[in-house]
Amino acid sequence: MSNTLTLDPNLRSQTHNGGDAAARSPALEAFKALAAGYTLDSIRQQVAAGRQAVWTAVAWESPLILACDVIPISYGELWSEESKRTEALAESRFQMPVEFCSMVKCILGRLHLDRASELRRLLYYGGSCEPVSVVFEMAKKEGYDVHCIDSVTAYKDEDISPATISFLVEELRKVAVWLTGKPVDEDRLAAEIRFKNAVSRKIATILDLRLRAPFYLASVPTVQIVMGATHFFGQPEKYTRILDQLIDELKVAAKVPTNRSFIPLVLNGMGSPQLCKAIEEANGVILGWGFVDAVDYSEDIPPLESLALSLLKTQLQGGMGDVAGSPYALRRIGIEEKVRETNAKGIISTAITGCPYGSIVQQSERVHFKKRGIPVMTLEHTVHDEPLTEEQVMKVQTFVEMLS
Amino acid sequence: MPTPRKKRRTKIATQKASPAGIARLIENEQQSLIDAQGIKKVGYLCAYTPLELLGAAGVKRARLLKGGNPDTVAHGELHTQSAFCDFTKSCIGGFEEGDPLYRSFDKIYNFHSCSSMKRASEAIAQFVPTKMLNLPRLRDEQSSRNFFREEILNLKRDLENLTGTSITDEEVRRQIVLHNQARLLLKKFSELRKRKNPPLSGKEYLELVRGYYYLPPETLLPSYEELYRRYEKPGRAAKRDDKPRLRLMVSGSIVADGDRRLLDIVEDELGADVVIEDHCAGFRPFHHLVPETGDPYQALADGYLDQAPCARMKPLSESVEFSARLAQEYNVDGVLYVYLKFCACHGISKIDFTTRFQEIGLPTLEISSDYSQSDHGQLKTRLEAFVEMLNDQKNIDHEQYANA
Repeated sequence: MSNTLTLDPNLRSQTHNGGDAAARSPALEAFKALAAGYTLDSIRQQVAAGRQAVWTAVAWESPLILACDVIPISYGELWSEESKRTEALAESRFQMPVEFCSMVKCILGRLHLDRASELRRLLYYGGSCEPVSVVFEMAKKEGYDVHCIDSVTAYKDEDISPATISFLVEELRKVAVWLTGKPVDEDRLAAEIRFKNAVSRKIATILDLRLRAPFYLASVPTVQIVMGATHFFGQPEKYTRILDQLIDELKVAAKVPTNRSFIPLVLNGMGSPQLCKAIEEANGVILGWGFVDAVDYSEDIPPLESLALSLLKTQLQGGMGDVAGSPYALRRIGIEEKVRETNAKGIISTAITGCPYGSIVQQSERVHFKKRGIPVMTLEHTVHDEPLTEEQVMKVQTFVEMLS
Repeated sequence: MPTPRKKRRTKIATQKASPAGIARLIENEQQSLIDAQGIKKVGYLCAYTPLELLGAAGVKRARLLKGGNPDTVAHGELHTQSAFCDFTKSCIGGFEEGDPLYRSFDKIYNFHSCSSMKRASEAIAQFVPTKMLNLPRLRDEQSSRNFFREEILNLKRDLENLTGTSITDEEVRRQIVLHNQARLLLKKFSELRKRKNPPLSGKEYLELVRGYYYLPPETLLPSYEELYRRYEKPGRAAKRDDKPRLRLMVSGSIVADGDRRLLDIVEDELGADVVIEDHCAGFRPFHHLVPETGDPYQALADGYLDQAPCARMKPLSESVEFSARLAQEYNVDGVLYVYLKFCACHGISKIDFTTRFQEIGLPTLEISSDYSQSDHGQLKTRLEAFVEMLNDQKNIDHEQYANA
């Protein structure tokens, strides 16, 4: 995760297209306007007017939150503002050891600063990142209402058993009761699942068309469009209309041959806007995205079961990384598939400094892809919205040059 | 070459049960596990693993508890890079460097606790077949207990497949009784440390606990019983010194088998006693027993989730309160809060623990630890200052009491 997810319009000004469509894509113009209206302030206003909102990973569980008529706010917002200050606060007031990643420090610091805010409900999945789980538990002392979905991980096919599914279904039922005081409307949840599936298919189409029109849509808006699939920027119909519009534009662009040379890459892990730009300036184009999960929700089974199954299947694909508690060794399978699909010449793998998951997954993939003859470059970064270091830029440039 | 005097001591020790005798039993058992033919050998990682089932399956078993050697850590880092605690690196490193005990296992089981141990098990799967099982975090939730029961049954089925023999309910019940006897004795041993002059040191207690993790209760119980009869006699003290020694608690992360440097300094060099531990290689798992009636698998699920919680379990406040209660129960003069660098559970939440200790008037020294040997001097200086400060305080209190 990174500040590409941010709802802050000031930060979003950095996320201009930069691709060929920059000046002439009505879809992207509409998207920018849509995204600009979806801010933390706008969510606060809705909460003040009586709506509910919850901090959440905004991942596999998002249809449930939306079906409960609650606004999901991504954890990413917790490090989007004053991140240096909130990190320092975690280290000083909470004495968080320096070795931990900037993300968890910023979360703890931000939760402390906002303890009197109206956004005081937190949902987390217990199978995800340990430091984040600990920090959310600590937030209870700051007055936050915190709910944990208990930990279930599938490592092998046989781990998806009736017992694991029914336990997860029960956990999800509890989430709905915690959020609204009543069971979820399963018809509404089924509708949200169908809608999410439809959106996922549109996004898959966009990414597929982008393979043939790689310069039409730059990396940063691509990331934003993909990440919007979990909350639709608060306006689902408008968001899907924009996706349709973009698909139409890309279909036209895909027919126009380009003679610009570029190095196709897969980005594994999240990339900051600065990293995406640095890759493009080095003549690389990110065509495969490690964070895009391919699991659709089943529509022919009860909706809570469908959500539970999607988590377990995502884990078996190594999808969503530590957000879903996925086995790290399985992530490489999906990445390798993306390399094949996109004809990528190399993989750029990013992780936040001090992240245990990032640390072990990068090392394992470095060894694995080396054996497969696929070049990998690893980068570490923080969650702070700051320019890349000269070393990082040089590393990107050298890697892309090496692949040229 | 050992001196004749040392030889004589060793001979005496083999005749009577003693912590050193337990250590020799462990060595013998480990060698026997390495040498054994025709019997399945199982390694396990966490104190939440129901040993009763391993006993009922008739396998040889040992906990992966070795640690303290920086070379082994370096071998683990080939997989994890740096952002893991030295214990998890040691678990992986033991396999990487070909530790004969670790390499002799037919299978590793891990009811994964923290996410680092989960990742470590995944790395270990490259060396030995590994079965990951879910350990719920929400110990107070009935649905989590029921799910844990299902996972325990999952372990039972896997053990049956491994050994080719069925595990009977009757044998599981018998093993519960046997393990309860061992747990109860460990609790009683610990309670002897409530005496003004404890009959056993902190290091000796850890040796007894090691026995539980490596030896079957049938082997262990006769030694425990004999030793307990000796230790419980009034007037027996570990140190032949009438002067009351400082009483300390160690709370925090796991203390591996080879990681005794802190205890060496505190007990041997500074003359204080560690009278209680709140960590998973010390007293913590022996605070509760497993119910001996009813469905044996539900009894295991309840018993293991009811054991004193580590900081990974939720709510965190229960772990904090347990630690504080234990400190008061054992009437300690101060607390050493020791966590391994990168231990999210105990590193990030340390402020909650240390604040609580201070609230109940207990001076606390926080130590961020690893298995490097380079900081012995610094560690000793800090411990020395803490112990001196507590001794001064104790003398002042004593004088004030005497003058009153």
